[in-house]
Amino acid sequence: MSLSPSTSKMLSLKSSDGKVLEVEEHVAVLCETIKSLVEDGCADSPIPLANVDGATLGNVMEWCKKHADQKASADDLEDWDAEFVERDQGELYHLIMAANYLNIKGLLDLICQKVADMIKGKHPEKIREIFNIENDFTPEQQEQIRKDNSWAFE
Amino acid sequence: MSPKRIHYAETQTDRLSELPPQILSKIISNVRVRDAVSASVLSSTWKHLCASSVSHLDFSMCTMFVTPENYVEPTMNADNCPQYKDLFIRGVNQFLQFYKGPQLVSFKVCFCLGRGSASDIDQWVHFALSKAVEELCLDFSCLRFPEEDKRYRKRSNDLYIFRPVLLYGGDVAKLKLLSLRSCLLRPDFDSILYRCLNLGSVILQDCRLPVKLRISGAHHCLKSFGIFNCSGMKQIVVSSTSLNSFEYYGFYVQFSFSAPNLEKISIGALDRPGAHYIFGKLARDLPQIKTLSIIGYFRWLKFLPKQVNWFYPFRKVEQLRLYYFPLNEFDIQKMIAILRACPRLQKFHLVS
Repeated sequence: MSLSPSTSKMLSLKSSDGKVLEVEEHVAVLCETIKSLVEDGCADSPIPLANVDGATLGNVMEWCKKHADQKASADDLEDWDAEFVERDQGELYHLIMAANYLNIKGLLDLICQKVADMIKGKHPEKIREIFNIENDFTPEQQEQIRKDNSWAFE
Repeated sequence: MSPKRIHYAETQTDRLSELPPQILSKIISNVRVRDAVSASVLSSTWKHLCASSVSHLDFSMCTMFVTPENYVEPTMNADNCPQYKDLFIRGVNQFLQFYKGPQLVSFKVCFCLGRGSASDIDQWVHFALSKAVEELCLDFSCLRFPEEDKRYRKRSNDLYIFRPVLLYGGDVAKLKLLSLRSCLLRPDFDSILYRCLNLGSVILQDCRLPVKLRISGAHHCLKSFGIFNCSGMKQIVVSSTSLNSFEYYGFYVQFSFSAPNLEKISIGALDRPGAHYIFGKLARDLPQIKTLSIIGYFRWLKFLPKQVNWFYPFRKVEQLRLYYFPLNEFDIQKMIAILRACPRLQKFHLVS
């Protein structure tokens, strides 16, 4: 085991479905929400995370662990991140919500970029299909929007 | 089954639209203008989002016209600028009509346009300022290596004239960055530095500048100023207490500095007077510089004498970066002379 300043201290995190995860403090504090609890001295008992289920928490901590690793190079992290976001929409959704709740800017940016990339360069019909977005426009309304931005639909 | 890959039931629900508005706006800010417009026909939620939450507007060939079907690199060159020009201008105008957001972080236009489109461009600048924009970037160059290929360089009477007075009708209090490429600036340009009190950084590239360019201002925010491949100027007068970084790349012009806090200089030596200025007079003009980068294509080393005592010392330079191109013949004696001229050097980068 390496002698990082954090090897000693462990934190217990409790997910919404009651699973308890033991995580090194220097990893868990990548979550700003947890960091402020630690700084306020409120992190002794298992920290209840009411909005994050166990599986998602595991994924989030996997990301934090990788990003807390001082030895990881920028290139290495980039490749790792690219693989990390290869998930189905359900998982991405839970990860976004968890990153938002736990206030992890890097992870939130990463997944927002991934979702943006899923939209990029696609026709509206394709985006609608991928994300199951229901059309609440009348055909006239839709025609008007296309007309207002006719440059993009020619 | 790996614990990492628990699959949530693939429901037919619209997960995306369930996300909180601030996350949706973060996502939509990461897509190109064309994609935002595509997304606006999805549903009323998305229309509202695309019309009001995009805080970075970036209009270019790439963000507006490149689609997976037509994606080929050479779509972006000077030859088809005229073909796309009218569509580009109409596209920007339509999008700005459509856009309802209260505030913009950045507004960028990158397209081969000139004086003929001035009335449209003026309106765009006005629009950006009406949204209290922080970063304004106007790049009207042709995209295919304009600095090397003179065919694509606009004549000065074709260049868009950037008039500072355009800014003053809007909210300049937030403007932090101004970047202009292939524009023409008149002697009144320096009024910007007096009127935009939070402007921290100015970049001028491939611009036609007034004969005498003054970089001065009464305010304390201007930190960096860059001038790259500009023409027309004979004299650059820098007079600023806040300026920390100055970059210049181009043929030699007469410099005069009165900038006590200027510590970072990046300067290109393209000709003999330029090379002589850097090693003969720059250190006298700016004895306080700590970081010096010297960039030179061509054989700028050739222009320097070998005598060590010819070099005027940079007494405080701690970091020196020399860009050294293969065209230069490596001359160890001159290199030693340059290094000797920096007695307090801590870091030396030789970049080839």
